[in-house]
Amino acid sequence: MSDLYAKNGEWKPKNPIRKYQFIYHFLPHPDHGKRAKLLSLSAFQAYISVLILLVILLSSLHRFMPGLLGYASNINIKDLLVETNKKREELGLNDLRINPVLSEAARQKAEHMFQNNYWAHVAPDGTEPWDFILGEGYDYVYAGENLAKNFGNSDDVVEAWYNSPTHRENLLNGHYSEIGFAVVDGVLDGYETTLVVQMFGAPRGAGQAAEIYDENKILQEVEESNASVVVAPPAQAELPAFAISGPAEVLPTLDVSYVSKGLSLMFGSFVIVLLGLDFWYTRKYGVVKINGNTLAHITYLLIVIVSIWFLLKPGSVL
Amino acid sequence: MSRSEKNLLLYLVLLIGMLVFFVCIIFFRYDRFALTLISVLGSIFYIFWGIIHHVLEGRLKKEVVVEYVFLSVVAFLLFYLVLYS
Repeated sequence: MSDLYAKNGEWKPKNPIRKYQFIYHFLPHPDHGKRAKLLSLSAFQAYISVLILLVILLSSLHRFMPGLLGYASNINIKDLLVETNKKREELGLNDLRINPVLSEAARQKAEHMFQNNYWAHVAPDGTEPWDFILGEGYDYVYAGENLAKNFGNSDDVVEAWYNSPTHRENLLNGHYSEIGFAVVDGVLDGYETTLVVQMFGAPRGAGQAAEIYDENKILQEVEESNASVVVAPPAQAELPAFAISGPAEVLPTLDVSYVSKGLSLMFGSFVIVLLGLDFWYTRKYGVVKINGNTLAHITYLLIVIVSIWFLLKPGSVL
Repeated sequence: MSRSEKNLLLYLVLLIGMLVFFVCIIFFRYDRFALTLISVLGSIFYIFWGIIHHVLEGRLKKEVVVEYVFLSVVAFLLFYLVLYS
């Protein structure tokens, strides 16, 4: 009863907002010596349950509403080539030349992943990257493969490869002289996805490398070849169907990365605001209560929110 | 060591811990498994920091420990939601 005082024989609240009991959902109660109701342990239990439900919902929504969630992207082969060569030039390495045969092998690898619903260098049936390269008649001395999925733009893809030691090894390998790309849209694990396959090679013999090289023409051909392949969303709750159709773009209704990031940021900010109110009100009105360190909670959650906001970009490399 | 010195030391440990947490996230930002591990370790570190902080202050209660555990779980789930959804 610390903030009550007697006046004309009546007890009246010193703090005028106390008469609005609803406010104690957001502010600590001076008499009870506890946090706001929305920061109580039972509220935290509810938050944890809601977050778990959101994780389950976002991971399983594609089964009930295919095509609703996915990853929207704006990746093109020319930018991938320019960015890759830029990274190599920084280290004084030779530029890689786009090779349509390697690009075709990359495209087939992407299609194979969609058709068989996997995300790996080696397919569940044992097919290896070299099988696609050799299958296209590309005889090599050195060859390599980088994969990426769910990125929003070309720069992020190359940056992700560059920041991963094993992929950087491929990106900056001086043995390679040629490169092929595939950027293919489709449905993987139920999500609209853009897969990027990068294949490196050094052809055996000079014959293949000595051909007339028209980068723009090859790029145009490769882009056209990629655009002609779209893996259609499954009509039923079966494995994704594969279809060859005219140039088209598969875009989800909602970008899953933005949805999850948005929800996560909103939720975290909501708890931080509540903790901030708790900190301010406790200091201002000298509320006595035993609980965790509010300032430490705010610091920890702020670090988490900043990390999610700035660093957790969508996409993964393999 | 006086109480204020202990507090200062504890806050310093928390800040260094948070800084290491943040740097690790920057460094492994493209490695989903590493990020999951970092977020788990960050949560565990925070729970232990909270317990030690309250033990040294002589006001450790079951509810306080549960609060640290719940907040750490919420922080982990916020990461998990972005990483795996």
